Amino acid sequence: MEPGSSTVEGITFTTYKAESDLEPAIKLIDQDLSEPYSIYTYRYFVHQWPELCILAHTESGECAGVIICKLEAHKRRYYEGHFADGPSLNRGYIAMIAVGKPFRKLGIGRSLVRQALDRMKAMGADEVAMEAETTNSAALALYQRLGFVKDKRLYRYYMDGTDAFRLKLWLS
Amino acid sequence: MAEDLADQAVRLALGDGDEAAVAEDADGAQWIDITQLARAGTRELAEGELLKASSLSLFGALTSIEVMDPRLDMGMVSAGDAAEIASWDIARRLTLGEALWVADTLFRSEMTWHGSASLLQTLFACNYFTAPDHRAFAIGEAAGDNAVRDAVLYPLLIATGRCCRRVADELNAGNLFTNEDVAPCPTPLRLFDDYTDAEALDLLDRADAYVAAQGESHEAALLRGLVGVRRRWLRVTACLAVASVLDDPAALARGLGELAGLRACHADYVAARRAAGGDAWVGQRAVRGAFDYRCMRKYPVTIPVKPRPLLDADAAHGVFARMVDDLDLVGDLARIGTAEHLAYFFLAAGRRDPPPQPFVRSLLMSMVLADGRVQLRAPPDAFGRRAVREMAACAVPAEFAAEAALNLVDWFRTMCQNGPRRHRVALKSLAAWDALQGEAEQLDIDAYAAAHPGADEQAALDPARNPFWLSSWAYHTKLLLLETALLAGVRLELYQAHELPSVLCYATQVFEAHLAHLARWAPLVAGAQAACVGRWRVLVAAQKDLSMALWLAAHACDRLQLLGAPWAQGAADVCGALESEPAQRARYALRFRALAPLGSPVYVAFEQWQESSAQLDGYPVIELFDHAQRMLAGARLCLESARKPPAADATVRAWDQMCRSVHYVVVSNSVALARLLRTRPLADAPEAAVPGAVALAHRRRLAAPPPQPPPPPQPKRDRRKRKPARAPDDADAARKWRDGVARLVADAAVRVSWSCALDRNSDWPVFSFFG
Repeated sequence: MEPGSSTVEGITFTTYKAESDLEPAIKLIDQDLSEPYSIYTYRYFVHQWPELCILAHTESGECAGVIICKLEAHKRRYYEGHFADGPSLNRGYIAMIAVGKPFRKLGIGRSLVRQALDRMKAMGADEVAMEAETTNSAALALYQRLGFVKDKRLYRYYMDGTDAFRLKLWLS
Repeated sequence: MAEDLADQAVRLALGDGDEAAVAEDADGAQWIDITQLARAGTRELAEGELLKASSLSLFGALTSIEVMDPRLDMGMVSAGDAAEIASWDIARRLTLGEALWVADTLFRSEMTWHGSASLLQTLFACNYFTAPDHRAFAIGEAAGDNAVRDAVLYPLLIATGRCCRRVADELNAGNLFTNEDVAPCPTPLRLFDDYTDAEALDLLDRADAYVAAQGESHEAALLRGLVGVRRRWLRVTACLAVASVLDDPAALARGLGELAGLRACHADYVAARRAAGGDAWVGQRAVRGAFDYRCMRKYPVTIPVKPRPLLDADAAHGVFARMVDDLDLVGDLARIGTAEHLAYFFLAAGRRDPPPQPFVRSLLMSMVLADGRVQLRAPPDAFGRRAVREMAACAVPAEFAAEAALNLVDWFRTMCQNGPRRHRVALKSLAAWDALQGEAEQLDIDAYAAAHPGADEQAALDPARNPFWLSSWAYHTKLLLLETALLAGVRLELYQAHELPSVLCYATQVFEAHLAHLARWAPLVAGAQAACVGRWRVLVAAQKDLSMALWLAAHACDRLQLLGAPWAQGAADVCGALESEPAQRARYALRFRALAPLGSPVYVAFEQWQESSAQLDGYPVIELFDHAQRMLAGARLCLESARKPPAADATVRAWDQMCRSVHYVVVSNSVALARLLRTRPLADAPEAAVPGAVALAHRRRLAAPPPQPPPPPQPKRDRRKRKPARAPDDADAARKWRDGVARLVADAAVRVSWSCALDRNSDWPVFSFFG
């Protein structure tokens, strides 16, 4: 899938370009996610991996959705037969994803995730991880349809005390 | 590094000369204005360009606090906050209603702290709570004209501080938790070490007398209610503290005696608060500035803390009521006399849902192992000897007893962890049980050789001649741990990929143990003891149903490629040998060897099983699981109905004992199966709703590159058994199936644990571990 192309009628997907893209994205994420993030968290992601920050815009230019990810080398675990000085794997991580309330049920979230996965795969990702609330069955269903599987339960992961599932997708 | 950067900034700001503004504040600190420097520096950057230290990690970014963002900066003072802070006046003359509001809000803060919130953001946000001179005013050393504050509120706050100090001490002594459970943070609570419990109780009595003298009003009644709750809660925490019990064993009984009164007192307060008008009514008496939620500016910490909301009053009182109820467990623990009962007690306590409060679990752990003694009585090796004697009816060497005791206490500790951690810790502790079982087997062999000097070596290894009591006990205990902790962990999907091999190996042990247990009874079923033919037939039928159900479930799991599922990829990579075809065949052969003596009407040989598996491919997996569950349910009903006649003679008693054993195996397998089915990868597998051949063809289509090859021909099957194929998206059937599973789990899980605890099956520990 080429950047800029759209898989949802009336929605255009673009890659993060400048700080001005961040403001509507932050607004969208703040509305949806329970965790408050500082501007440093957003900048940490978008300045290091701008190509993995994808925004969905309506025809009128309104920000309808956003996904923010990263991709970096991750030390293999000992169970895989490698120790600290062994070869590393490239692990992608979906940090934040949000779709505006009026634009839900249109497949924007799925398109954002798919595009991000395609890009991470092209960049050499071996696996992709992310976290979702154990109670968020809609999100869990979405990711599981995309091939993610539950890897670990994180007790009281979020500030409101809810647990999270770490979901993982093996690409290689 | 930070110092270097600061020096550099100073040099840059000052430049070559000393033109930059240097201001000195009242404390003598020098401040350099670097505004111009910052502007000049950022002028060089393009839009979106960022300077980032290479040391900034994701954790650093996530835990960073954006200064002046009210959601993140607990020290930020907005205009509204400033007005609130400015309105704070410690000398303000409080009314009874205002004192009630402060005490009520502090109670909510206390319960929020119990739920793992920071002490600084809850109790220490109250300016009255942290007032440096409340002691002098409360005990009357300092005279003031603020009678309600000094005579009512301060005593309540001091008693609250003492209670929290007690709780923090127990949490630290229990040493079970991390911040995810509770943040004890005892250091700031040392503020209340200036008081003794007796002093705090005396102050509360005086507060009660003062309020009583103020006449009757809702405010007075509620304040007296709060004083009563606090007085009893302080007595309970003081009496049940392990240090108190070690000093004076009668303190335990006194503390437990207070519990009933505390429960009633608290219920009365909650009812009276509701009758008076609840939150809205209490909220009207708010004291501006009394709680400073921007207090982080006063308590600098190294790790930034993001704010958490206070519990509302209903939730806070719910937490407290549950904690008081849970404390009954301490009384139950004190009454336990046997090691076996102790094991079941911790098993049941650990499986409570919701689990007991961290304070209660800490107390239980401290009560069971404090001062180097188990249950405040015996040292661990004596306890270990007693435990093995009770549960395995044999004496053991001291080293073995000590190791057994260590394992048991470790188990108790595991059961006191929060749910998810409990299962993870349990997995780690199983290795110790394996080692203990190995030692026990050697001891059993040595014991047999000593008791039978003329016997050959083979006799000592033969389970038919050597009962292996000790190792059976170790094995039984390990299996109990496996079933209760490990399978629940699988259900919660707690284990990571690298843990799955051991989880799967242990789960296989449980399965095989059940089958071996059944096999052990087979000769009895077929023998002369079967005098009461009708009853034995019931038993045989149930066993056949059980074996059939297990076989169907095993086949269905195979079809779903359980071990090949994505979530088990890591496991499959590591334990390649486990997944190899010969190893898989060997495992199934072992299962069928165990099934063979049961006279199963189905396929008792591995070759037959392979052939008949092809026939079962005509059924969707979903139906196989459904059928297996119905067969297990049928077996259970059959056994339950047949147990009605009273056990009149020896034969019937023997039958009853066997019936109970089989019943246990049926129920526990029902639970194991249901738990297995509830795992999402299984439940969502598209293959679940289609016949095996369709699923196989689908997988082949997915695996093959385009153009797709023609689908493989359908193998010949027994048409009588063939069912119409279902569409893969048969959501109704899937939902119905999952609902059934959920019902089964809810029903059977409880019964399994209590059938263990209540029946105390004398025969159950005797598993035939040699297959």
